[in-house]
Amino acid sequence: MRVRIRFSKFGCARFLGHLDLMRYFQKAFRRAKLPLAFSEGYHPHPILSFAQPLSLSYTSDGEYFDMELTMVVPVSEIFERLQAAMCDEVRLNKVSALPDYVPQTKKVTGMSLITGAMYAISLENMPEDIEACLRRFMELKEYTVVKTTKNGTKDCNLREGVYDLYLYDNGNETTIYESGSFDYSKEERAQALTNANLYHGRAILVTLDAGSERNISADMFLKGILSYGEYGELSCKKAVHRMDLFGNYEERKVPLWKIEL
Amino acid sequence: MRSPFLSDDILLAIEKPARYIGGEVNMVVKDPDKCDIRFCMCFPDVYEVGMSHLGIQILYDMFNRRQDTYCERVYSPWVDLDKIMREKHIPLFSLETQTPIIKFDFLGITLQYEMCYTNILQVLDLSGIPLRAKDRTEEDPIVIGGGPCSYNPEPIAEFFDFFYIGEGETSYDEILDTYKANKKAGGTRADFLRQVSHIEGMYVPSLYEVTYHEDGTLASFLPKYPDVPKTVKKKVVTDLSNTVYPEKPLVPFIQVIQDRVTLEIQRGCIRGCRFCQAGMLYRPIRERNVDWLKDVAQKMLDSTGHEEITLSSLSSSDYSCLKDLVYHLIDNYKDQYINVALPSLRIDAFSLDVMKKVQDVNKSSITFAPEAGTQRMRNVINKGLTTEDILGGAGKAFEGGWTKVKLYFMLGLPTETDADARGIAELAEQITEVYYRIPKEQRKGKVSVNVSTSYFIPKPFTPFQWAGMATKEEFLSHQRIVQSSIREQLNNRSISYQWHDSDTSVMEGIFARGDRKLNDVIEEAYKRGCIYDAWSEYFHYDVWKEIMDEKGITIDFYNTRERSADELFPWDFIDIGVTKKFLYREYERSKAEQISPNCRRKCSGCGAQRFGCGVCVEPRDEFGTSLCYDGKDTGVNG
Repeated sequence: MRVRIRFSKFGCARFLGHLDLMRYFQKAFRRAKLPLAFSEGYHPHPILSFAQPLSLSYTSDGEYFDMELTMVVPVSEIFERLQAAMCDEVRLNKVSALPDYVPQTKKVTGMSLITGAMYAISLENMPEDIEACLRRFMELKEYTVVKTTKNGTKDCNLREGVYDLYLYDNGNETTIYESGSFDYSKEERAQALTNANLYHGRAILVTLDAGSERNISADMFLKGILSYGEYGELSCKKAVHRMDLFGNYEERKVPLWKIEL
Repeated sequence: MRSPFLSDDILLAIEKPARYIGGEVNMVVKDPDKCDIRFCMCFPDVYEVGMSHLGIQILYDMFNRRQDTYCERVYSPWVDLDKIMREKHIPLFSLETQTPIIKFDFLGITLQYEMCYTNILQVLDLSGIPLRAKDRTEEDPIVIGGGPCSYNPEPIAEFFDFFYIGEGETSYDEILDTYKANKKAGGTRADFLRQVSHIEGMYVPSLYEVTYHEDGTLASFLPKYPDVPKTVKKKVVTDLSNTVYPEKPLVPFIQVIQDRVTLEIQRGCIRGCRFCQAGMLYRPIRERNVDWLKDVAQKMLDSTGHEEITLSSLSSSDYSCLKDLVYHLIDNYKDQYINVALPSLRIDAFSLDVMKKVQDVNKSSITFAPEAGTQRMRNVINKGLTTEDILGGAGKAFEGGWTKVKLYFMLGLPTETDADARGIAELAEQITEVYYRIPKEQRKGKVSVNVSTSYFIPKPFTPFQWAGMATKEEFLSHQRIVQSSIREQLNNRSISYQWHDSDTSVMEGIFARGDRKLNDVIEEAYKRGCIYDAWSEYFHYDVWKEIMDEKGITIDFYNTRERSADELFPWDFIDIGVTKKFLYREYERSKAEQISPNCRRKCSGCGAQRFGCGVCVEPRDEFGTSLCYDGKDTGVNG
C-alpha cells in the first residue's frame, strides 16, 4: 500500500539535513513495526520519496514524503504507530493513502507534483514600511534577480514567481495580494503556523513558485525584497517556516494533503 | 521548544551542525530544575566517534534511571567549531538541554585511548573549567575520569578530581548519594573528594604524594592521609546478566561509526595474549546469559529501528552459546533485512557458514590476526594461533568462495628479529599458495591478501609492561624488511601492504607508561595548539618533540629502556586483581618462548580469582579444565 505522510520539523531538528531525515524515517518505520517495501536488487533499500528538501535552519509544518508498505494497514493506525516512534522535534500531522496504481501522466508522487510552496518569513527587526514596499512590489510586471544554479548564474523574474502575500501579526492577517489560484483558507494558513518560531509574532506569508521547473526559495524572495526596498543587507536574525507544499489539481494550486486521488 | 545554543549563523557555517543539536531518538528529557544532580558525560572526540561507544550508552541509561539525576552528553567540538568558539568566547554546552557545562555538578570523561589527552583539555578549557583540579572552586563541576586509560591515570592525573577505576555499573549510586549528603551537610568540594577516596575503586590524585629517584623512576607513591587507601582496587560486575543495559540506546541522526545495535555478549578474555591490555584489565571473563541477550537484542532493535546488530566481545568464538545466539539472530531477523555483524571470530566451519549467510562472499574478506609472522614470535606473545590454523582456515574460506584475506600483524614485538619480520611476508605467500593450489577452473581469478602492520606499544598491566619498546628506527627498519620481502615473494602481485605511522606510536607509548611529569607536557602541547592527536592530519609530532626536549623528557626513559624487575611503576597503586607477580612470570615465560594455557584449559593463578565470578568459578574436571571449554586452543582470528 502506498501512503503519503505530512510532517512538521522544528526546534533543534531544523538543523537536520535531508539525508539524515531519510535515515531517520527509515528507522522510525522499523520502530513502528510498519514494514516498508524494499526495492529489488542486491542492495534493497526502502521505497521512500521526499517531496522537496527543506533548507537547513528552516522549520516546517508542511513536509511530505510518499512511501510504500508491504501490507495494508488502516491509515489511522499508521498515524498512531508512526507518531509513537517519532522524536520530539519531528512530528507527523497527517497520513493519507495513495492509490496503488497511478498512470505516469497523472503525476502524483514526489517532486514532479510540486508547483508551489508557502513560507512564513519573520525578521527580528521587520522594516516599518514593509507593507508599502510589498504592495509596490506586487504592482510590478517584472523584477529581475540573479539566480545561482549548478551551471552558473541566470536571470530570473522574481515577481512572476510570487503568487500571494500576507502580513501576519499575532493571529491577524493583512492581505497584500492574492493571485486567486491557491486553494488555502485563512484557517488552514493559521494551522500551518503551529510550529513556526516568529519574532514578535509577525511574519510575511508568501506563496512562491516551487518544483523542478522554476524554484524560488524563501531566501531568494527575501533577498529580492530587501534589495527592491533598498533596505540593504540583512543584518538581523531571521526565521523561515515552510507552511505547505502545493500541487496543481483541477486547475488550482492545492496543498498536497488536500489533493484527492 | 528546544532551541540550539549556537546561533543559526554559526550552525550554518560549520560542518555537520547536527553534531551539536541533540534531540536524537531515545534522548532522555527531564526537567533539570527537578533534579538534584546534573551529570554531563563526555567522550573527548568528535560526535560520530563518541556516539559509537557502548560504555557511554550504558552509563547514560544507568544515570538517568535515577530520578534525582539528569545525565546529558557532550563531545569534542570539531576543529571548525573549536576555532569559532575560541574567537567568540562561546562556552561548551551539553546536547540535551543545550546548557553550558560549567553549570553541571559532574563532568565524566571516558578515556578510551591515549591520543585523546589533549582533547580532554580542549573540553575543560572551552567549558571554562580550570585545567588543573587544584585551581577549581566550589562552582566548578567535579571532573571524573574512567575507562581503559584510567588504569594508568598518572599522565593526566592533575586534570581530574578523581578517577573511577573499574566497571562503571557498580559504584556510581554510592558516589552520587555521597555527593548529595555532603552538599546537604554543607560540605565542601574537598570534603566530598575525601569521602570519595574511601569508596572502593576511586582514586583522588590530590590525596597522594609522589617522590622520584634521581634517575627519574618512582621512589614512592603514598597517600597523604592515613584514611586514604594505599591501593585502589578495580571494581567489577560479577553478574553481567543481572545489571543495567541500555534497552533504548540513543539513535543518532547523522551517520556515526557504529550505526547499529551493539550487544556485548561477554566481558573479558580467556586467551592471555601477552601484549593485550584489555585481556588483563577485564579479567575474569564473564559471559552474559544467552536468553537474556536474545531478549535485550529484541528490545534494542525495537527501540532503535537499527538495520544491523553486532556482537561485541574480545573473542566472540569463546562465548559458549555463540551458535545458539547467532543462528537465533539470523533466523529471526533476516526477513526484516536486519544484518548480523560478527567481528572477532575464529575462522572455522561454523563462522564460515554464518558469514556466508550474512555477507556477500564476493565482496567481504576473511580476517586473521596472527599478530606475528613466525611461530617463535607467536609463542613469545602467547598468541595461540598456528600457521596450520591460518592456512587451514584460509583454505576453507577459499573453498567457500572468498578471495580476499586480511592479515593483521604487529611490528616491534619484544625479541623480534629480521627473520620474524620476513615471516610476515612468507605467511602471506603461503596463503596465496593455498589459493593457487585450487584447480584453475574452480577458482575465481586472483586472490588478494592484504597485510597490515601496526607498531607494538607496551601497556601497563601486561606481561610486557617491563619490556623496552622498539625505537622509531627499529620500527622503520622492520617495516622495510616486510615491504621488501613481500616484493621478493613469488605471488607478490597478490599481496598488498599497509603500515601505521610510527610517530603516533612513539607518543602513545610515552603516555601509556607515563608518570605525573607528563601533565606539564600535555598541557603545554595543548597550549601550543595540539588537539585531535588521534587524527593523523592534526597530529603534530614536531610540537610534542620540541616540548619534550625543553622539559628534559626522553623517549628512552619512557619507551625504549627495559624496566628492572623491582621498579615501582606509576600504576602499581592500582590493583586489577591480576598480580604483578603473575605478570612478571608471564614476562619470563615469554622470553623463554613458552606459551601459557588459556583460562578454561587451566588456571594460571593470575589473581583474578578473588573476584569470585566468571571463568574462575566454572566447574572443572580432574585436570583442572573447565567443563565450558570447547577444546580449541585457537582464540580470536580477527
